[in-house]
Amino acid sequence: MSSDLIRKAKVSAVAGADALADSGTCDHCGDSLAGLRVVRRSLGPDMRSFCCNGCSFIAEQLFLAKAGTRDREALATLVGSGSEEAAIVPSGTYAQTQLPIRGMVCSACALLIEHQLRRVPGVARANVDFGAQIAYVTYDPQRVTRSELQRTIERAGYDAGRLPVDERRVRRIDLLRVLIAWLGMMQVMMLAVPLYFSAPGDVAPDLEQLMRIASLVLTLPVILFSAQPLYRAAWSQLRMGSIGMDLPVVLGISAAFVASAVATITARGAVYFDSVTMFVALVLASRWVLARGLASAREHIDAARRESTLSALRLVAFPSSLATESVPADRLKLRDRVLVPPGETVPADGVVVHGRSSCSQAWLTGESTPVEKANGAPILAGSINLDQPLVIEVTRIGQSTSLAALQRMVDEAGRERPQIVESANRVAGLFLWAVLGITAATVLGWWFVDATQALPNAIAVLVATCPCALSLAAPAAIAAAQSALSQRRVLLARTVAIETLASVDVLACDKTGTLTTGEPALLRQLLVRDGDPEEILAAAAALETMSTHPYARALISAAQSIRKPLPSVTDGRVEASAGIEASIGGRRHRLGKLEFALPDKLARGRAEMAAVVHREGLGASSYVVLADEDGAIAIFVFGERLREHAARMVERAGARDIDVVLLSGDRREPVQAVATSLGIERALAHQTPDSKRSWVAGQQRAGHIVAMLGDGMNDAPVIAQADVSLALASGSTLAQARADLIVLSSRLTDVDFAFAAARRAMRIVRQNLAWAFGYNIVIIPLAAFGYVSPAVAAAGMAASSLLVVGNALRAKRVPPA
Amino acid sequence: MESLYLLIPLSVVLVLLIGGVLVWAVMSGQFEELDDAGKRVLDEEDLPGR
Repeated sequence: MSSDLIRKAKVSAVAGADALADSGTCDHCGDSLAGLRVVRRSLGPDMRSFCCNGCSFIAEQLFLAKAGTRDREALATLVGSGSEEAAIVPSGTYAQTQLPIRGMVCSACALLIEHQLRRVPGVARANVDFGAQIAYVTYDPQRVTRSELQRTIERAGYDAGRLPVDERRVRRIDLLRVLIAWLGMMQVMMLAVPLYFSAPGDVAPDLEQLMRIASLVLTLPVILFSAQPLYRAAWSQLRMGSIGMDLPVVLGISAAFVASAVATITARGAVYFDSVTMFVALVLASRWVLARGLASAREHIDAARRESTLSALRLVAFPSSLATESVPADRLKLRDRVLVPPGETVPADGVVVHGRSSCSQAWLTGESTPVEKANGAPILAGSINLDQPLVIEVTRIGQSTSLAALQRMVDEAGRERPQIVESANRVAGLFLWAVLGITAATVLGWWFVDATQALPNAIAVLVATCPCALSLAAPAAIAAAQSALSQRRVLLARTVAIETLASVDVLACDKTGTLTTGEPALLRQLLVRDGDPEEILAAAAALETMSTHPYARALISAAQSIRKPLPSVTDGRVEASAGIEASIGGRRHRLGKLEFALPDKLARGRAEMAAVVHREGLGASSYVVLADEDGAIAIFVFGERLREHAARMVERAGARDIDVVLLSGDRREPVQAVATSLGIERALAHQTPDSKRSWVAGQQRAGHIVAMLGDGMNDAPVIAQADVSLALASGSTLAQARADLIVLSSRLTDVDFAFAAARRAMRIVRQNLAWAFGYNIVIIPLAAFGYVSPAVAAAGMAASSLLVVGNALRAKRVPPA
Repeated sequence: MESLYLLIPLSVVLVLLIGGVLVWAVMSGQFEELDDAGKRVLDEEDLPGR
């Protein structure tokens, strides 16, 4: 709280543009401003109010892009005003740092660390990304040092990465824990089984005692070494007061082990070494499989994050020389000149100072049409330069760039995202109290009946109820589902995503790049004159072989798909951004824009064609006209090419009662066209990254569980906001860095497969939980009343564990839908 | 049956020895990248001539 006040004081002191509480709504996202620290920014003649700096920044960017201002002076003042101050924390007084954290087991750990860090005086912001295992801290170096922050993390019981840890060594030790547990389990079983099947007196008492001592020796490493992570997790849960599944697990194995050890040393009472070792072995194995899958997903995400830090080609002595040096984009300084070759991403916000090219700004606007950029035009980081090299002068750096604004939006969305607790952890607390209560009741009850039976029966209750099914049910089934997914090259980044995915009822999809390939395709062919449509298509495709325009590729591939041989073309010429003229079979043909296809001597046909175009409702540049010496022959209409299996994915989602919604930044017509052809009823056009995010948040408030499928940078905030998100690997790395599932194959059928696998896994988890519940209902009263012999308790637990694991393995086989 | 009095302790010692071998094997990386070797042949980026 105090740091919050300090932050407010600092920001308003420096920026002077912020006012407390206001009425009305944000000019960008439409959220209510009541109770918020309002950000005011002048855009053109108006003063506008925004709910946050992210909104204000994006609005300013959109304003600049629309205004298309050419006056560099005006632009410079506009961009310059408040750009540095716009950062949430002024970078002059505050420093930012990233601290790697090890030892976090769940998202509650992340919350705890965040909480502890925010209480440190001098810390303005602290966010812990559990997925990346990194804390992002903004702090005042005058008041607190980085090593003090690290000590805070260490005091909370985590490793702040001060001591270099050999990752490989940690991985090997984890594997060793599993193997040692299994080795111990097998040996203890070999000693236990003869005792199960022998009649009393068959085994000499001193031989039995020797076998117990051997079992104790073999169980020791399992408890002391293998089970260590369970104890550590339980300890941290206990300290945070949030009860997870590890607590009842540890309670069960500790009680059973201590009782068995005491029984062995005193040579009196029952031993449960076999139950203990078996349980530890099964729990560790299922968790290890799960952790290995998560690690491979994390590797991919780390790589995506590394890639998403851009590098820039800085011009050392422009304009006298074109020599460049490669620097990371965050090292750029104001007024640096940067060269952006075609095909590259613009590394920083700036203005074009040399060159002319078309750039794709799809990441910010979602619009598929490229924008022309020439001298003096503002350009945003993350835009992709398509044609010609450009020289850009950097006008913003660091916290005030559009990329940083987007990143902040992603961070905020990640924090707002509804917290979904794994169902096993949800019931863990209840289970723990129930077991403790029944154990206490057993001790108390027997105390008055037969005090010597109190302890053995209490132990029997603890062992029999040892939450095997509960603690194995979810991880084992999720690990099996994860392995099925990884065979389809779908990476699972968060285990809870499986659970969420199974209960999704709204699937929001991006359009460009996700449902469509972003490449144009031939949609329709309108014949203006009688003729064989296939022959006419072949003629048009033959003409297009001379062009490299995207429409040319679309026409040629359409002709190839009907297997029509292309006629030979002679004496052709290409007129840039107009069309192609050539002879086919001795007749001159023209293909291209209406004015080109029907030149002045055929001008009388133009009005007629314009009427056709109008009647069909065709967009300005979505068609080409084929004509010969006698006039027009056909019109070819282009649209976006749907991705393979897009229709099938939408249809299957519908069959699963999932409402598919299209969220796109593109214009209404293409969005509606795609929605109609896929049978999507709800389609929203003109969406900004922020409006997508607030739409999803609105759905969440209405009680829906929303999945987001996207690929682009503009989807990154909504991907962080959605309950569960899927990113296609063909898209931007920023989107993948936040997604729960990454579809490496980029096949849409695999998205459907993920839904199928998740639902099957959760059905199996529910079966397992039902079994565990039923089993416990039967065994607890029996154990409490002393009817369960140690052998039966142990056998019941082993059978229960095996049943649950065996059932969970079925989650691997997902039936093809 | 008397032989068991020797064999059981012996088996424990043997298990501890096997455990020691396991520790060596794991810590020297014998179990690493087990599936990668098999998958490498299917890797699209590992085509011959590249």
